Amino acid sequence: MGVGGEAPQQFSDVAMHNPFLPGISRSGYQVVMEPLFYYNAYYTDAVCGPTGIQCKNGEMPWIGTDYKFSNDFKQVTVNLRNGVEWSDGQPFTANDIVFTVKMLIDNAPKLNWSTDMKKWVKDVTAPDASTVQFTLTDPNPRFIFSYFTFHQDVGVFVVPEHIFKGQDAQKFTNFDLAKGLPVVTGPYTMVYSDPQQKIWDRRDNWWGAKTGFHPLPSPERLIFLPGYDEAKQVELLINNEADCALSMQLGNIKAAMDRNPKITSWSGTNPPYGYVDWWPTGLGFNDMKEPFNDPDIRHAINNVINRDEIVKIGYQGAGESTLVPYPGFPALNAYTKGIADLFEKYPVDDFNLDKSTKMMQSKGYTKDSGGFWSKDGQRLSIVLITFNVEQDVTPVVVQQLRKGGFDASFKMPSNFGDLIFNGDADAYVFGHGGSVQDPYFTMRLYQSAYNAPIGQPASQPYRWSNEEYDKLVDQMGTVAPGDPKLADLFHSAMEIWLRELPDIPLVQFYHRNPVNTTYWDNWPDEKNPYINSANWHRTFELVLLSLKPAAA
Amino acid sequence: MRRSYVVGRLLQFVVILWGAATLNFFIPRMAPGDPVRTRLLMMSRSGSISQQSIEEMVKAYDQEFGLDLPLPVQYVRYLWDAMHLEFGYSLSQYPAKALNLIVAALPWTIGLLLVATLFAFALGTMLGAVMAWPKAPRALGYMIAPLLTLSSVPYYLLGLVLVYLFSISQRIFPLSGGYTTGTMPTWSLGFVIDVAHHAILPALSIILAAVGFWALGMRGMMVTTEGEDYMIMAEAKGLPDRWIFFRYALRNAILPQFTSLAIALGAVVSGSVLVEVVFGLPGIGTLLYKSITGSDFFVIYGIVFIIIFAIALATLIIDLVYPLLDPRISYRST
Repeated sequence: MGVGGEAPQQFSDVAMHNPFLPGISRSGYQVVMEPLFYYNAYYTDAVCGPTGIQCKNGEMPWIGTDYKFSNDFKQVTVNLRNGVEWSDGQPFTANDIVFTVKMLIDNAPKLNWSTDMKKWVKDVTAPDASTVQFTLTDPNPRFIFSYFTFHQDVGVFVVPEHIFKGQDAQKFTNFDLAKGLPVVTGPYTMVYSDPQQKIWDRRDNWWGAKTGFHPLPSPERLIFLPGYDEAKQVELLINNEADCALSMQLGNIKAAMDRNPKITSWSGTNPPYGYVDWWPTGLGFNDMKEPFNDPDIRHAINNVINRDEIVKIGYQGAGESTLVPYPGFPALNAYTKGIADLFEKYPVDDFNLDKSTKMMQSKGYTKDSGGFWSKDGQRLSIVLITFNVEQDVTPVVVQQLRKGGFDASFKMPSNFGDLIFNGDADAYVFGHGGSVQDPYFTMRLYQSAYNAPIGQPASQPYRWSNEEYDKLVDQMGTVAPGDPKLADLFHSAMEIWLRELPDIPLVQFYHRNPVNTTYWDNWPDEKNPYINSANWHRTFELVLLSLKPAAA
Repeated sequence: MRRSYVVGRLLQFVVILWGAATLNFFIPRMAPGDPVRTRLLMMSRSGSISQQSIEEMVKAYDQEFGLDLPLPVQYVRYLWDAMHLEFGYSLSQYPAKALNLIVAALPWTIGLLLVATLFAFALGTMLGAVMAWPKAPRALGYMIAPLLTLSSVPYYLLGLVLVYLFSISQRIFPLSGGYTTGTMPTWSLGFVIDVAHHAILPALSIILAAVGFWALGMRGMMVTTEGEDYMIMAEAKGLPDRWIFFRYALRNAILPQFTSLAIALGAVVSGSVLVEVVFGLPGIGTLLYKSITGSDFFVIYGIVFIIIFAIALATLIIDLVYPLLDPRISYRST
């Protein structure tokens, strides 16, 4: 039983199981709709994936067995595993993938992932039942990884053609338990759904067990609960009424572990009580607004940031700072190590109040009677906005800015997202998903293609643009991960990024989601990182397949 | 009862409904932010959709929901739809219809609030009447202070105290939920008992907070009634105490209580917002809470409109039936 998803207090999508509609919450569908491939961003030399699963560099073939790109990365052929079946006994074929992709294109932009499919897929065909061929609009060596390799919350679900065909994809709920809907390929089938709980029972005719791909999972019933507040989650865990929960604040996960020795975390009972998520936290600005449009001012602000102190106070010592907008995943570390020389030229980790003072003075700022930087009689006030996820670190950042002479304060407005994406916020503490395997996706987040003039919404909240950077990142997008050229392009792009510092990296972000070992063992952890333990991620099926009943 | 009074009262009912419905439309719109974008941003933050597709999706869904139309046009549409109890799609739970979500949540709220309100009314009214009765045990008089205190404490705070005492410290009652998680609802005695077990604490928090209100109101009315001539007359006639209590005192004092009860019943669907949130009950209160925090206009419109309608209707009915309850009241012109 787990507390999960983004449905606070109660489920509202109780009669809906169309994964492409925005109203769906992660309450089970993410573990029963299987991908072509899985990716474990936490793989190590010792552990790649779950025991018994073929895995190389974190990539695990699932419904797909392998794929091959054409030399120009404009075509990719995917081979599928034989014997995969839907829960109603119908075979899973390449036609299901073709149908799904075409359905998304036809219903763009309303369905989740539909604009992506429309942008990238020129044509998709099924030469035979176990082969899919994509023809892309532009070279994209990451196409399969981006959309058909499940990692974190990313991945396009494949739906059964025989169920969705003839339906209005924008309204079809794909829910009728009496008729066997939803039809899925995973080892569980939904048996009950209401606002309080969603129940999935193991189905013993899962294709994986039938074909010998993997034995059935041990848990016979999954009960997903809504995302209760943390205090309630802690009580459920302490009372052994929940096996896993959402990510928690430090104090709460420590309280849960103190009161029930069977509760543990990714790092056991030691700090940081979790794992690094793909969502590094930074201090962002509206880089179109004065004076934040000046990279020197951004660097001056960076010079008053003491990251060690943020970790010490904000994270109570249980965490790590970061100098790059990347999580410290093994595959990414290989790239970020390659830019070590840039930090000598652009020292981001440079807590230096004197340097900041000199820079501000060179820009015409002087300290006013309150000790804050002012120019032409106007005090430079910075109102940071943030949201609950960043409430640990933001007050510390504000205090450091004030000590550095910046008149900073912070707010947690309910329309935080609107404010930053509409360009109405000057500065904010925020994170982002992005790269997990190679550095391209995070770099893409800062491209000017996603920028817009002030007053218009833009999906790049930093509103930073640099033509040279854009070109380099565009080139990165056409180079396959692993190609040495990618590291060079990344180095060049990061040189611009660090010079301009559109977003000041602060700390790594952690998933501190406790697990209860009273009934189930073999949860993933730092010693056995076969996948991360978030039950709301698309990879949680791997955890379910690995859990073992706890010894009495 | 004059026909003009009835017509006037009905017109008043319509005006109240229109005025409240208008406020209901505009107040949520004063909150900052675009609910569609907020929802999509939340999904993109986690990676569930790509950040690059948000703006296109926002435009498409704003069009779908009519949010791209001028506000006056949206307002007229809303009034027309509300008259037909059609509130459109939920913004955050698309393609679920707002009305369907409300209907699904309603039984939980009515089950809890209706029973708790009636129980609190009966208990409080009786207690208030007895407390004011001179021949009642004197110990009852000491209950005024605790009742006054309880009636001043918000019921959701009482709920938190009860949760701490009986769910966390003592684990006598479940922490939350409408029934035991893991069981599937069936029409069986076992399930009914389970639901009742889960409803005790939320009901108790409402009853404890409300019983003082009813008791103090009734006590005040009883004290006034006891000084009436017909009470002295009844005693002089040597009627039994119980007869005087029920037929002369309580019957005359209870009328204002019925007015309050009608309004309280009308507010049944709205009164439990925070109690449901505290106890994790899947009722209207939790739905409204979620809708407000998620700026789900159409669900807010639906719930609040139903509340407005229920309260206005309850008040109308009580106004119309009052003369039947109390023959001294008449709407005839003199």
